[in-house]
Amino acid sequence: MNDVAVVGVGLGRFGNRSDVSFREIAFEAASKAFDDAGISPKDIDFTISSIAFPEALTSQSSPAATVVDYLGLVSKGSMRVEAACASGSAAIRAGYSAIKAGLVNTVLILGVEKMNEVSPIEAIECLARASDVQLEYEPYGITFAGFYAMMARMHMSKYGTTEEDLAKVAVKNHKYGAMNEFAHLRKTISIDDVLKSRVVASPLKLYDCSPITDGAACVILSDADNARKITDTPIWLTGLGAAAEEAYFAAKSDLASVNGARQAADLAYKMAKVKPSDIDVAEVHDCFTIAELMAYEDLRFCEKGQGPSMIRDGQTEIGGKLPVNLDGGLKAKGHPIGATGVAMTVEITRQLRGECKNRQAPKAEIGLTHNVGNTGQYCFVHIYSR
Amino acid sequence: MAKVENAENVNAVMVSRCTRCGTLYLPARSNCNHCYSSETVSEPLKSKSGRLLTYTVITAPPKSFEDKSPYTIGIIELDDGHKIEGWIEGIEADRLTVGMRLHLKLKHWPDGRVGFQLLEPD
Repeated sequence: MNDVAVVGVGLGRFGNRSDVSFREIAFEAASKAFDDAGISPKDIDFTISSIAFPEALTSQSSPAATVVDYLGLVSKGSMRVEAACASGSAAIRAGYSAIKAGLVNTVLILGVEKMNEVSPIEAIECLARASDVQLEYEPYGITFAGFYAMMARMHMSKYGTTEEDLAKVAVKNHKYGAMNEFAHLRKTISIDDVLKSRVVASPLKLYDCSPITDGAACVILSDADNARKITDTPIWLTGLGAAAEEAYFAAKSDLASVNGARQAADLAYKMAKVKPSDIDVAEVHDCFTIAELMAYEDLRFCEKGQGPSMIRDGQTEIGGKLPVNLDGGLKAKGHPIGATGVAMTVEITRQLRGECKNRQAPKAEIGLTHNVGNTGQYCFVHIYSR
Repeated sequence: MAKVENAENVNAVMVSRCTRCGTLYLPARSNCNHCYSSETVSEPLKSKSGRLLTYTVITAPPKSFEDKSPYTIGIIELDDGHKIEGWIEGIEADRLTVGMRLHLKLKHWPDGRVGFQLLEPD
């Protein structure tokens, strides 16, 4: 069977990017990925775009066609995938499948979102409408900060998690975000800064939330034969797991966990034939600080309820047992919805190649990405190895 | 909107029951996803009280709820085990505690939207 490897990666700088258009920020990411792989558009057999909410966030429906044209990829097939905040990982999974099936050899995965084309309050509404509009949004106006706030309070009442524990996640991720030239929020913060920031959805405060970000990310995947011709350092995609949870939030089996991510992780570990303790570096979906603590537990890095002790003990920093989100995570790097899962793959690839300088995880041989759409309705866990 | 999901929720909180396999749904729905029957009947919910599992006060609202902010959302576990989201009304945020007893009523918006509200027992 054809193994599949990452052969090229690139990012368009994350931030409030009113200086570039949608297709220009996509070009930033794709041109870097082509440079990185040392190949050109003629070497790509198929393009998969991950763009989550362009119809609501920009005035362009189905923008993949215009982007693919702008990137000089029109002579090949193209499609867009959507799985809310996990669209990027869904695109990686689709690319992997196409190569594994033998349909194509080399696939370009492009994640893009421009979220600042509308006002923040309109962006919040666009995202909130990814819940059940009929049963959740229109009757109650629940935001995603609101859903994760309810999970945070559940975690607090079940396990004694505190607001300081949540703040420590933000402090850690800002520390690494400040070192990442592609990150949106490049400043270190203190626990006090988080605790004193304004409440968004109690108990979550502004600094518990990922920002509204524009960004792009590009990953080129190829089959084993081509991958070895393209690069001396292919990063192999060895395990993929996908799972979904009930759409109606209250029906979740455990409101202090993302059970779908737990199931996806188990599938990925099994496929890659590795254990949670084999993971050297991870990118997890910290859309809100509580989400990172639940990710530690759902990925079985610790038992349920033990996530807070991992952050308190510094186990997820460089020098700890398992460094997490060394690019700043969604929290500091930013969360341009469609780009997020692709950007996680960019970071894990660089970590496994040993290219991350002052924010490099030591002895990184096996890496993991954990990407969650909505509150668990789209869960993808991928495992990569050198 | 499907009939059972909204229209029949006019005067009382309704559940739906599949007449083929017996599965009970709250929120009510027209189709059964266990046996794929569309033969569902609606009946009034019997158990309308329960305990508060979790809640949040939303102070950064989306555009269409801007004029309602702040507002409080909670999840109640009814005594029959169903878990339901609702708009908490008439209780100041500092009096809310996880585990407190609440009961469920319909909430009618002036524009016709229907949801649930969670209130303190009389």
